[in-house]
Amino acid sequence: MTDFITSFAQTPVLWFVLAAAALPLLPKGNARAVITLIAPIISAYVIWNAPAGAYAGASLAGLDVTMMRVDKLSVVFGLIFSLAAFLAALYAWHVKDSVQQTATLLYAGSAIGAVFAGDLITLFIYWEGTALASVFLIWARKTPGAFNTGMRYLIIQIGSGVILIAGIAFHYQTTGSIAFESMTGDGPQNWSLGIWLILLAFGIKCAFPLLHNWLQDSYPAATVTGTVALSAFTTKMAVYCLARGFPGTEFLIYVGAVMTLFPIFFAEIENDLRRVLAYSLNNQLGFMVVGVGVGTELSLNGTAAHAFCHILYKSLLFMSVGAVLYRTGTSKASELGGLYRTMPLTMMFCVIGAASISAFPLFSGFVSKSLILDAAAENQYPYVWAALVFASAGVLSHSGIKIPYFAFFAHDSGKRPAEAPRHMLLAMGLTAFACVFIGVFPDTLYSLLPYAVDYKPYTWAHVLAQMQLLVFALLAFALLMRYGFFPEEKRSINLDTDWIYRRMMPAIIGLVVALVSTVWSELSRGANLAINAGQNALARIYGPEGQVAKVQPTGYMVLWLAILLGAALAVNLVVLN
Amino acid sequence: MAKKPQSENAPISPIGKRLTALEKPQVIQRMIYGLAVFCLLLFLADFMHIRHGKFEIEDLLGFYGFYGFAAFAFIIFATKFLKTLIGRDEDYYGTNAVDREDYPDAELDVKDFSRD
Repeated sequence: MTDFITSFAQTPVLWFVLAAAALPLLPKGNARAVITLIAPIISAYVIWNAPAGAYAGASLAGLDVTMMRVDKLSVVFGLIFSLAAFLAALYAWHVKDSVQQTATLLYAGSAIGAVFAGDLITLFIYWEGTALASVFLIWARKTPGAFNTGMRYLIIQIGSGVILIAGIAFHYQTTGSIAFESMTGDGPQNWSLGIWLILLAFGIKCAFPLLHNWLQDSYPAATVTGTVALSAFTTKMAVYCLARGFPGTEFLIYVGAVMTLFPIFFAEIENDLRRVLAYSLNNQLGFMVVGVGVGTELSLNGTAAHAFCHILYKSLLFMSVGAVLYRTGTSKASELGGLYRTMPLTMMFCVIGAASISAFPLFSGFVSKSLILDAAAENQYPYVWAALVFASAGVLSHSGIKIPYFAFFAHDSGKRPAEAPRHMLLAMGLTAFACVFIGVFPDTLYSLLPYAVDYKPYTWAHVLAQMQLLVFALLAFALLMRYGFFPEEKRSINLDTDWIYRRMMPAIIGLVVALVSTVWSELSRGANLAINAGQNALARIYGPEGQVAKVQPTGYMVLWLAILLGAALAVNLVVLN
Repeated sequence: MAKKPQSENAPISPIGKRLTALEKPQVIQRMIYGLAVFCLLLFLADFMHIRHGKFEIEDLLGFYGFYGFAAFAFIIFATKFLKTLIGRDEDYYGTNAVDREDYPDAELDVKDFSRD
């Protein structure tokens, strides 16, 4: 146990746990908010100064676990998670709900613990940690709808953990190892069941196609500040796990390509802007999964870089829409519009986030996404490359244009909300600054990447290609808008795979219940009839009015006695002769 | 939450006031022309042949531009069809779903000057 504690003390997770433990001891208010800001700063410091290598080992139920495996891949994820936790805490400065503060700390801590896990058991513990901590950010909304959504979210997240531990058990049985290393071996055709289960668990949290809908279901249901934290950790932890465990798995390229495409269409028709961002998050994960699938140094660098930039601009977009929700009470496109008048700063930060995710030159998305696109092209995947370029135009449509346009411009909703509070503006300002800084000085980010980078994003050819793609798409938007082809936003929802477990399965279960109960009630009615009939027959014979209960004259008795004696006599006669 | 005096008296900020010009139809028309001219310039830049793409198709004049335009237009028209297919009323999943609920006021600091 002591080796466990001393090892745990070497991890950055310690500071999140200490902060979460200290939180209730402090008076409500700014002191608690300060604690939530300090923990990520210390965590980043610990990660920055952590020596490379594997250490902080301990023995857990007879298995040797490693809590710190420090290399460039884990460090870049650890640092961006710490930065995201800091920005989310700053954005949530006004929150007085200690449940949310504690949940955010433990959630960020678990995600950081997971990226430094050197073995699968440690990974599993933190994997479940993120699920348990994060659900409170949804429940904190304190409405029946949020409770139901949280339950669905928790079932799927815990389900992914159960699949993970089952996979680990199978994997341990076949290999005798719990080390968290690349599991690709000599190709998927030779993978054991354990490895497939582990990949499935990663795939659920990474929102693979058809496993994705927990994300769009739950993130818009969380609190204003909770969604900012949710957007950063769970899915990018899964991306890290894929990059660590399954680099160069070719079919992931196609999985990723599908992920970049289908959310575009769902995002485009969605009315709730926070759900639009959740679909857009799914689409961005697709780019990272393609990078994992290609598996070259360039593409894995791309995945790490894109995760880094994505966490920042996605947080920024969720923050700006969150600020709108905070001031107006709604995040629905159909209810918003024209807010630039009174929320100009929030609008500008939102536009910076939109430009970053759309990968305009000088913004962060440009310097990270191009690594993945070039890797796909270099390795000669023409269709995947074409899909990714298409998806890049799609990103502009739903995140680049739709989010800022429908919230801050479009038709005037008549709403004149106050500008976002100062701490929110500060958090958004810092995040926006980071997005632009990375876009202008990409080498700062490139120096953090897992492999040495020999890449120049700012070539004339590259800038021209990207500007053509985006500006022509903008022209398409302007023309469609001008001539009334652009669909209006109406209050509505859209079906997705959650329909299966929110409508179809309950309907099937209802049908089965109705069937079983009908059969049961008919059977028991039949049995009742039979029993009643039997009872009545018996009562007719033995009841008070029955045959047996009748008063019999004495003569009958004598007669029967005589018959009995006669019979006995007859039997004796026969036997004796 | 501390009061924000700057927005109390002047709900529309100076930046916001300047941007209201964007709502004039002639300004919108001019912006579209500007965008079209910018597109034309970007297209003409392709005649310098500075791009040597990894695929042949990339070297076609204006490939990225036309692909971007077509992709965007396709997405918008495809979503019109998709919306009729999978769009539903907000109360489709009953009343205990977040889409039907108002966000609880206790978590918010709503400030709206439109009715003042």
